[in-house]
Amino acid sequence: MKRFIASLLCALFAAPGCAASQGPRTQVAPPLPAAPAIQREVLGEFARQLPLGARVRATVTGNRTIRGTLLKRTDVALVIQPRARVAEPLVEIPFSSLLAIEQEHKSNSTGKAVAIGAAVGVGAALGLLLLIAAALGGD
Amino acid sequence: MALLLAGATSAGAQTTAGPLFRADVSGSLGWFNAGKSEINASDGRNDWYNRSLYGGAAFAWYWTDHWKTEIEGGASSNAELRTYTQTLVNGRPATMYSEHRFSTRRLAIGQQYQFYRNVWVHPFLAAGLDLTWEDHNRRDDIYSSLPSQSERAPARTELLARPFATVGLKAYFNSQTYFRTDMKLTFDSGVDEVIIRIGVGVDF
Repeated sequence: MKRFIASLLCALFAAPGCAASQGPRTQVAPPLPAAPAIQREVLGEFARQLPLGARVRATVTGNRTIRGTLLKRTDVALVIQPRARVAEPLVEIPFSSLLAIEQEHKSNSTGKAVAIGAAVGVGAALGLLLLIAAALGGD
Repeated sequence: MALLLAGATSAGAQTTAGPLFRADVSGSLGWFNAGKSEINASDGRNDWYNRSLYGGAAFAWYWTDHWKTEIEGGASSNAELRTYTQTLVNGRPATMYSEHRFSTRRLAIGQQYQFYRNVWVHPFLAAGLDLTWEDHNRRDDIYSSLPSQSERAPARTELLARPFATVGLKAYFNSQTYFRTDMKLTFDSGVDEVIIRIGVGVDF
């Protein structure tokens, strides 16, 4: 019996793996050459075709994220109006400093944000109070 | 508190531009709860009074867009806490029912850190020192085999200096006006008071 099990194990180890013999289940893409020049070229091409007025989220050198409205495109840069409560100066983003950019779609409103904030705040406060009352209260 | 003040100082040093606004004022109403374990410590009975309304107003100065110093004045309405104890009167067992009435006035100064910059909703944390003038009225009714007695203790006011911590959030209606909700905890030997507040404020 031992000899049989040993032979079986040897055969299994010697044979190609079952999963491997069926070929790859997921396609593994070879990594793109991480040359910044190519990345910037692709990002630049994408950024140039964004429509004026689009809401965008851009990540620039230093991993700083800027969210705002695209106001102007030039051959070398984007000009964005940052999205903020109080108006802020326009931001010019040269393509050379662009690390990532994506177009965002409006999904909420100020009223909704305020309502959500208020609900979360009141709910959290009440929840914490109940916990404290439960922990400290008598009767 | 010292840590928060130090944080404010270093944050101010790092920021070159001034804050979006220099100051704000706010008013709030809240549900005031206070623990009185020193009065009703026996038998693990409820030693909190919970039926009190709090009203307050605050002025704050922004050092940066994240750090501000806030001074707040407020008061809480009269609230009642009833207790009873077994005692001896002239060597005879008696039950003493006590009615305590509390109200407070307070002045607090604290340092607040608000998260995010120039957005519509800002969560915040605060800590500081709370000075409370607590008015306490007490009436005792004593029941025994003797005719019952009623005694009223002289009213007294006590000044309490305690640290506090606040967690809350501000949600703006427009660029300057905001709704505010928070929970303030005052500490002595454990949590002494809990105030849950809502209010409005304006930056200027």
